[in-house]
Order: sequence, then structure tokens, then C-alpha cells
Amino acid sequence: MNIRQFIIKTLTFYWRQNLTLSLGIAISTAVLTGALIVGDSIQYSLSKIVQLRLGEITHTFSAVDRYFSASLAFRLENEIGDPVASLLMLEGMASSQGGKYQIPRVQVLGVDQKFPLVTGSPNFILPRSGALISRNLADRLNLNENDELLIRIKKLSVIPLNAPFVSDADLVTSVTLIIAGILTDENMGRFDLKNIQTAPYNIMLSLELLNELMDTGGKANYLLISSDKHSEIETALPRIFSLEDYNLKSHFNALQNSWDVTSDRVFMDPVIQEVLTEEPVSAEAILTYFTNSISSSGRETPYSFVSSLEDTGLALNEIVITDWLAEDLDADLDDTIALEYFVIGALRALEEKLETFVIKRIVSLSGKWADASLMPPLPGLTDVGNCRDWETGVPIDLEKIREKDEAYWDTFRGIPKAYVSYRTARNLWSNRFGESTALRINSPGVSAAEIDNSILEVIQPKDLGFRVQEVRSQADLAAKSGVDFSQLFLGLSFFLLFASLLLTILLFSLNTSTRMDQLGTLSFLGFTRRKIKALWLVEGLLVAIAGSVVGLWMAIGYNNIVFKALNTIWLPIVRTSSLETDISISSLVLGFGISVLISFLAILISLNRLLKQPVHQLQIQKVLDNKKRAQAIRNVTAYIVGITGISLVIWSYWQHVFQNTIVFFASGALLLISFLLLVHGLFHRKKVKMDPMALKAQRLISQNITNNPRQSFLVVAMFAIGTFIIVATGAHRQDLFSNAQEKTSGTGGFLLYGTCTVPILNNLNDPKVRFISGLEKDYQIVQLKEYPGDDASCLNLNRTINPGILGVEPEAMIGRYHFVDKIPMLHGENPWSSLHTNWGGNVIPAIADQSVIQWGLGLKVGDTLQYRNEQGELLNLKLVGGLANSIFQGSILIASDHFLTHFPSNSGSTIFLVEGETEEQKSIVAELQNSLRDHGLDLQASAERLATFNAVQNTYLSIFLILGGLGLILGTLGLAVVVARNLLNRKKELGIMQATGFSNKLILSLITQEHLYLLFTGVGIGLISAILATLPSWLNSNIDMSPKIVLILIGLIFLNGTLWILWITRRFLTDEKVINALRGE
Amino acid sequence: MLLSLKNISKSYSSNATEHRQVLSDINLEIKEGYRVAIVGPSGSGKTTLLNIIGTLDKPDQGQVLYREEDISQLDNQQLASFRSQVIGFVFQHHYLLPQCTLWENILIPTLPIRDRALKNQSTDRGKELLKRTGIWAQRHQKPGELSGGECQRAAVVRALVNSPTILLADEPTGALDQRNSEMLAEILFEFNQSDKITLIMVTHDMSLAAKADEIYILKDGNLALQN
Repeated sequence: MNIRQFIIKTLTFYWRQNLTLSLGIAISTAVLTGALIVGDSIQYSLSKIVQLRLGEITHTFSAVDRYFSASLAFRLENEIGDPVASLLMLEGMASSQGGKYQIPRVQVLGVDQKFPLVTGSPNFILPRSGALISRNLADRLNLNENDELLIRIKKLSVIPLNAPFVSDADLVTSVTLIIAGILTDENMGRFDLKNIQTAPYNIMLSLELLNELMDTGGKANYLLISSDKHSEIETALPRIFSLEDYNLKSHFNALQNSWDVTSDRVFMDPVIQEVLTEEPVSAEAILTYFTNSISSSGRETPYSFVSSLEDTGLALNEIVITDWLAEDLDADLDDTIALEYFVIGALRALEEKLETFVIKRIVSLSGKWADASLMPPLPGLTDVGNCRDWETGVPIDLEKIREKDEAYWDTFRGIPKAYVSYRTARNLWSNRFGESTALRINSPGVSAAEIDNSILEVIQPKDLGFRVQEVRSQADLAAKSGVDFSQLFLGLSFFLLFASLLLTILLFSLNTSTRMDQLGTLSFLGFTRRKIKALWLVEGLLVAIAGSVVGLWMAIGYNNIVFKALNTIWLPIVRTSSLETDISISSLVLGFGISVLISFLAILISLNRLLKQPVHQLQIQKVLDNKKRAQAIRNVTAYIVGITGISLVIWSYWQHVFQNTIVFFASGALLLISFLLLVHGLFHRKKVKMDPMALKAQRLISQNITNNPRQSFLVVAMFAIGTFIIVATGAHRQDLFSNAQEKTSGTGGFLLYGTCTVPILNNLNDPKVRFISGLEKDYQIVQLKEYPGDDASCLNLNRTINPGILGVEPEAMIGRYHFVDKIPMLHGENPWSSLHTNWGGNVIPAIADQSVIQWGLGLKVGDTLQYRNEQGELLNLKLVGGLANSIFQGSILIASDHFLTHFPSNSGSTIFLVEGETEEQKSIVAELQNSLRDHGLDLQASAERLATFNAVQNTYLSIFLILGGLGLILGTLGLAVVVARNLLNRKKELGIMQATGFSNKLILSLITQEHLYLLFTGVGIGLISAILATLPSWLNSNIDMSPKIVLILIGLIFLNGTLWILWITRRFLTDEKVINALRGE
Repeated sequence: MLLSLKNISKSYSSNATEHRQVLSDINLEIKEGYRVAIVGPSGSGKTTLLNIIGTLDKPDQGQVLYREEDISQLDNQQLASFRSQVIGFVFQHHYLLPQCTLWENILIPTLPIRDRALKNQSTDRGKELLKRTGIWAQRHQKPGELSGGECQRAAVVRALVNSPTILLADEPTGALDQRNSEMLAEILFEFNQSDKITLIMVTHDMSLAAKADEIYILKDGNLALQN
């Protein structure tokens, strides 16, 4: 016989023990590898979704709320030699069957002929008319090919919608289209530029058709590029950008003998004005404004344009008027005239202002003073035949318009009737959209091309916020660095893993304890300790390998079960049914390797401990534990850790970090460790403090527990940790609708949360607006501005870098929501007011949901997020506070004033919150839906929105509970192992008890008490620590703590443990083997 | 002198206050081929003394000399080698490995031997010993299928398979009935005589002890030669 044969013999002889041991190892392998496979599969699925979303697109080129000529794609393609497509992406609403089925937010995509090439979708065939729709949209609207689809599209407007004098009429274009085809996921049905795994609702039509519907000539707002020439793209774009792409026009003004540059956006972008007014272009800024009236000495001229003059020597209060106006007002030089005009604030808040001037000069309405081109191109004003048809976006009193005003309009159109200095004009009428309506270049001798080139040489697309985005690599990164399900499931399976490892150790200990004499035998037969250890380790390693191999198969099954659940009952956490399993060899190898290693280490540690005993002690199967010093250290550590845990609780109260879950979890965990260390010491204390002469059942029980302190401790530890985790987890399940009406809850006390596809441009709390809109009921509305970005909430599995920004009026939020974390400088009583702070250097404060900060962004309060503002400047959002679970998950909140400074083109609000009585919810919803139906309104109860987010957390907790429950089942198996081992070791003792008249009932009672003591100790320790850990939940109004759940869980743990103890003991006692054991004595 | 114990002391303490002196300044000299019995009341330290001789335990004080060499100074590796080549153990219980047949159990002491010739020599000796002890026929059976006497005889064969100089027997007949006890005693003495193996026995069985060349009495930690 050689060593190999000896090992095989031993393995096969103890096959039952080895099988159970390998099963324990298989479970830990399955849990570990299963988690890795789940992670791999989720990442694979997310990467696959990226491919479905983008196809072969690598880059995009765009700016928020800006449009350029669709021909830019051809120009860029010529430059780089790779396919480039133009895309016009708009938002809209879709409905079918007469409104029976509706979707409030869809992507309406105008694509050109290059789209199939850029996306690598040869099967994508663009219809000349009609629309292609995504499969999910077809399903939701119950549509088939050739059916009719009604879409209402947010009207494309080059001019920012809330710019002064822009009409708010016709914000939506409605059209009925025939469904030309239904796009599958593989045929760009999932096309989306946002990094999110949920599928968008897509409607695709030809770029020409969409431009036709929008009444725009060949506009696009995205370039889609498939190329690996990033630097060439970056350098080519500024070179090929035309004035049209900047929404600029130049024309020679013969009256002024100059070149005038105007913007389709009415107001010249400040950055362009700044560059062009400097050398070498040295343009002159002109600001023309629409006034409500010009009056003097009781006479009034309504609705006139007033423009600016540069270098005229006009003082700030001096004005030049035309002779037409002088005559109309009967005014003369040095007379005073008054100008009344509207200043337009956020949400079209109108403020009428009056300014007086002294007439410096009266000019003839002819020649250069009759320059109609000074009137900015305002749709609804410049393009209508008579004054009564004006749609200016400000109230026009038609009764004020006289016949002579109509005649003036007919003859002179919007030729200014008066002129002030540019400084005055800028002081009065500059706004967030710009400080001029035209730029004048005094270079009469140059050609149009030369002028255009001189302009294009000094401005860059990036000045207006245009950016080349490496969408593909960003998306791949977002998918790869998103929610790590490997870690997540390892975390969620922590207790299951822990329990299976403990079970492995217990099973191995049980095996070694029954064979401990063999160690001694081999030792006295001349085997060195190293040799003995090697023999047992090889044996253990083979069992570990076998168990791990089985575990790998089980891991695949585990992954399948998890995926079935993720695609069904756990759908809230992934929100896509497109998950596919991907088993990578590396994960299998890693899972196998780690499992074998951990099992091997567990075996090695057990064996080392055993082999430290003197040989003769092994021979008599007795393990000594005389490490008094180590125990003393453990006791001291227990007290230190315990005191630290309690101090942490006291500190958190003192510091008002009262509801910081992490602090309480940490203190709970410290207390748990402290208790366990103390119990460890108690079990290792050999002397039981009782009268040595009095033999009581209690003494017997205590002695039996301390007789095998390690096993007893492991059981207590397993139940303590299991109870801690399960009770703490169960307690943190959030009641989805409790306390929703409280202002400090996650809803902020708001009844409804609404989103609009078409922005609401006015203040819905303004009585006049409410009257016009038909809003009669008494409720307050808080309107928020939105800068689009990725969803950073727990609903998005991808890692987000730039989440959407919401502009909010901090005053509307006073006393609402609850801050779980904030920087010290944040205003104590009213943290929201700190949002107005301006630190300069484009650093502004921001607030977000703590979960967004921590999990969505991987940051902490105090960190800074970087964005590019509309001017292309770096914008730093310093996170000053973190909110407890709120309806704002997914976005970053900044003050509305900062929002408009950095995103001036953003018009209106697309998100609003309604504060009203719960009883009136239905009628409020009905009223709003009726009033705002053209805005693509999507109203949701705030509590319901919050519940959607909480459902994710609750689902995670459910998974944790389920896996923890499985862990406890394993834990009870561990208890069963200990019971079985104790009974086996004490077979003779029990035989003696039976022989001396102990009834089986009495013995059963003693044994049960002994093990119940372990169960009670473990559960008790876990429970006390868990109560401390969940203290914030008991005190948090957002969480409806249910002692019932906790009690049920504890009851189940006890019941399960007790049943195992009773079953094994009863079975053992009724077995004849107990008496047989005495025959050997 | 084959074996000399000089000033051996050993004590145990169950806690800080309780201290129990088991062996106190023991001196013992054993000649090669001798048959020595150590007797004494339970708990007198007989097994401790035997464990110290067999290098399974270490004394607090004193030296154990084997052929004038201090084996107390050997490291674990050397001690294992010493036990493999010099010492054979027989206990009250046979400690045969249940997973192995009787023959395999007997060959287990040969596993640590690397020298092939020595290994073959031990194997041959195992066969011979099995025949001599009358359990050759049962060599392919497992311990669970054999009687206590047969297992104990196998344990003796296992102890002698590497041709040790010293055979240490701790209550070798303690778990056997009278017939099997006598048979085992006969075997032990026969090997002592024929193979010149020094036999050191710890026993309660005075009839067994009476057959020894020297009888020592261990009491209160002190060892005394019975005249």
C-alpha cells in the first residue's frame, strides 16, 4: 500500500462524511460562483443592450436645445471618410384607437438614409412616408403594420421658447401616420442615446418628413457617427461648421453700408457677441426691443420697436426719435418721453417697466433711419400682415392699435421709431438669452464669403455647448461599471455563504473529531505532523475539489433561478426582461478557485488547531484549549468593541446624525461582535460557577456546553449573525405608502408628481394663467426646470456620470424632505436656502437623494460633479446635502436662478409637484389632465413614485431575506450537526443515564435544553444587536416598522431550531445503539 | 544502557492555582532486551511516564537518553523518525484504522519510510509476524470484522513491523478477556525473547507484571523498584 492508496481508501471508507462535507462546499461554491455568473450575465446583458441601442454608432455630436443644418452630416462624412447620419430627435406623445391607448412620452426620430449604415443595420429600411415604430410601442398601443398612429410632437423651435416676444401658441404639431413597419430590437427598435437598460418607445420617420412636419428646412440636432477617428472628428467639425449651423445669418445692409449678422434665435448668444465684438471682427452690438408704448404729454404710440445706437454721444437718458414718432406724440427736442416695456422673467413672469428719456434728436424716417432689418425675426410678429394678427407672447391690447399704426406697419413694418444708446438698451433689455439682436460689421468692401469666414474663424461649436461624445465607449463603460451584481449578490448571499462556510467547518470538525484518534495513531507510528497534515489536507483538498465541481453545476442552476426571478418577481430591480445568461470561463475558474481555497483554508485552520495538541491528547480524543492570554485579549476586545458601539449610538444622537443607517448598522455590528466575544469567553471558561457538591440539571447542561466550546460557539455565532441580518433586513423593508402626506417624508408632502413632454411655459400658480388654463381648484403647484441627463436612480443599472439636473425654487421646499447627510455650512434650519449660495468660479451648491449620491454616482456629500453649461463652460455642482429616500431619485437639484444662469435657453418646466388634499386627488388629476393634455402630461401620485423606488430597495431586501433564510436553514443544519456530534460523543454517557433510570423523556429534555440554550443565546444576541442597528428605522417616519415581521421571523428561527433538536435527539434515543454503546464498557 | 531516564519531572495544572506533580525526579535505567513492568494506582502517572519514554510527551525537567543520546533535544521531525525506527506502541485499545484491512493497517508504519529496501524488509517482516501471531488468514479483513483479541494482536504486529528496539505497551491486555489477555502476553514475551526487543509495560495486571524482569512501582510521583 502506498500513500495514494491509503488516501483513496480513507476517502471511500468515510464516503458519507466526505459527501456531506463536499455538499457543504458545493453550496458555498454555488453561492459564490452563482453570484459571479449573475454579475457576468447582467454585464453581458447590459453590453448587449448597448449594442442594440447604438448599433455601430461610436460618436454623437450635439448640444442641448440647438439645431444645425442636416447637411453637416455630408460635410463631416466627406472630411473623415466614415459614415455620418443626421438625426432630428424630438419628443412627443402617441396614441391609437381614438385615444384608447396612450403613451405620454415617446422618442420621435427623424433619420436620414445613412442611418442603416451608421448603425450597421442593413435590414433597416426607411419608408418615404409613414413611420416605423418599436415593438414595445406597438404592443403598448396595440398597433400593427398599416394601422394609424396619432402622434403629437413637441414643435421644433430654434428660438428658446421663453425668449421675450416668442409666442407660446402651437407648441405641438399633431399628425396621423401609417405604420410602415415594426422595428425589432435587433433592427434598432431600441435605439436610444441614454445610458439606461429600459427600452424607449421609438417612432422613426424620414428626416425630410419630420422637418416638413416641423416646418423647418433640413434641421437636425444630432450627428450619428461610426468612426474610430475621434481626433479627426474633433478637428473637422469647427472647420466645416457654417453660419447656418450656428443659426446665424449675415447680410449686407445697403442702408448702413455694413454687414449685419443676426441669429435665428432672435437674441445673439452672449458668447458669440463677446467674440465678434472684439478684434479682429470688431462688430457693433445692436439691441432692438418691443415696447408697449411710447408716450409724451398724454399722447401715446403703442407697440413700437426701439433700437440701439453705438457711439452717438447719447447719454443714458437721451433718446433719438423719428419724425414720425415726434409728430405722433407732438414732441420736440428736449421733451421728455416715457417708454413702457415688459421685462420677462422666469416662466414668462411679466413685469411692466417705465423709463423716461429726453429727446436729443429727431431724425427723418428715411435712409439709414428706415432700416427694417433692425427688427428681429420674431415668428408671429415679423411674418404677419397686420398688427391685429400679432402673436408676440406678451399681452397685446388690440384696442390700442390705431389705423395709423396699421398703416405704419404696412409701410415700414418694424422699423424702430426711437433709438437709445446701446448701454441704455443693454441695461434695460438684456436678458438671459442675450444682449443684442444683431451685430454690425463695418467692412463694406468685403464679400459675403469673406465676412462669413472672418466670423467662422473666431467662433467654435464648443462655444455654444456643442460636444462630440464618445457614446459607444461611454455606454460600454457605463454598462461595465454599472451596478455590480456579482458584488451585490455576494453581499446579498453573504449570510448564505457564511452559513455554508461555517457548515463546512462544522462538518470537517465533526469528521476530524470522529477520527481524532487516527491522528494520534499515525503520530505514534512514526508519521511526522507535517506528513499527517499533508495526508489530511490532500484528503480535504480532494473533497473540496469534488464539492466545488458539483458546486459549479449548482451555480449554473442558482444563476438560472436568480434570472428567472429577476425577469419576473424581482423585475423592479432590473426593469428589463432582456436579461440573458452568460457564463464566462473566468468566473467559473475564479469561483472554483476561491471555493477550493476557502474550503482548503477552513480545513487547514481546523487541522492546525487540532495538530497543535500533544499526541497523547489526540490519542484520547481530547482537545485542550489553554490559551488564557488569548482569551483575556478577547475579553478586553469585547468590552472595547461593545463600548465603542454604544458610544457610536450616543455620539450619533449628540451629533444629530440621528437617522444615519450606516452609523447604526456599524454600532449594531460592533455590539454583535462584542457579545460574541464575551460568549466565546464564557464557553471557554472551564469552571462553572456553581456549588460543586450539588449536581443539578443546569450544571450538567453548562458543562456539556463548555465541554465543546468551539462547536457551541460556532452555533451561537451562526444564529446570532443570522438573526441580526434577518431582523435588521426585515425591519428595513419600507412601507411603500406610509406617512406620504408628511412634508418630511420622501414625497415632501406633495400629492402628485407630474412630467410633461411639452414644457409648461407659464407659472401655473399665477391666477391669470390658471384662469386661462381652466385650473379652478385650490392647490399649489411647484414647477421645476429640467436639464436632461442620465437617470441616476436605482432604476438604472448603468453607472451614470451626468444625471439630469432639476432647477427648483428653494423657497418652495422649505421644511420639506429629510436630510440624512449635509455639509456643515448648510443652513441648519432651512438647508434648502443654501442652494442660492454662489461660490463663484462656476461652483454652485446642489442637493440630491443620498442613494443617488452614494450608489448612482459613487460619490459622497461634499464631492463635486462636473458638467458643461450652455456656454460650454465647466460647471461644478458641489453636493451639499443628501436627502432620505425621496421622489427626486435620479436627478440633481440646484436653485432655479443658478439653473437659468447656466442653462438660459431652457424654457418652461417639464416637471411639477402638486400640493393638495388627498381627498381631492381624483378631481385634481382630472382637472390637470384636461388642462394640460397637449403637454403630454403624465401624472403620478407622489407616494406611488416613491413606492417605485422603494420597491427596488424592498426587492433587494427580499432577496437578502430569502437568501438569508436559506442561510438559516443551513444554520440549523449546522445545529443538527452539533447535536448529532454531541449525541455520538456522549453515546456511552446517555447509555449510563438510561441504565441508571433516566427516562428518555428526561434525557430528551436535558439535551433539548442544552441546545436550546445555544439557540436562545445566539438569537438573543442577534436580536439585541439588530434592534440597535434598526433604531433609525423605528424612529423614521418614512419607514413603517412592523414588530410583527420581526416576531414572526424570530418565531420561525426558534421553531426551526427546536424541531431539529427534538427530531435528532428523539431519533437517537429510540435507537438501540445507545444501549449497545454500554456493551463495550 | 539502552534507555536512561534522569531526573524526570512532570506536572499538570488545570488552572492558575491547581498544580499537580505527576512525576517527581524520576530516574530509571533499562537494559537492552529487558522486560520491564511499571505498576501503580490509577492516576499515578504511569501512562505519562510511558508517553515520555515514547516521545509522545515531553518532561518538564530531566533527560531521556537512548543509547546515551539525549532524545529530549530532538526536533519533531527527528522524534517522528525515532518513533518510526526505535519505538513500537501497543495501547489498551488497538487503534487500527477502520478504513484499512488488517494487512494495510500493519503496513501503515512503513509509509513514512523512503528507503525501498528498508520498506521491503518491513513488509516481509509484517508477513512473518502475521503468521507468527496467527492472524495471517484474516489479513484482508477490516478491523470491524475481527474480534478484539485479533485486533490487539494486529496492533502488536503493527508495532513491531519496523523492527523497533523498544516496545511500549500501555495496559495492552486491559480491553481483553482472560484468554485473549494470556494469548497477547505470550506473544509479547515471545517477541521480547526471540527478537531481543526491550518490553516496557504499564499494567494493572499483576500476573502480567510478575512475568517481567523488573517491576517498578509508581506512587505519588516517585518510582521505586520492587524487590
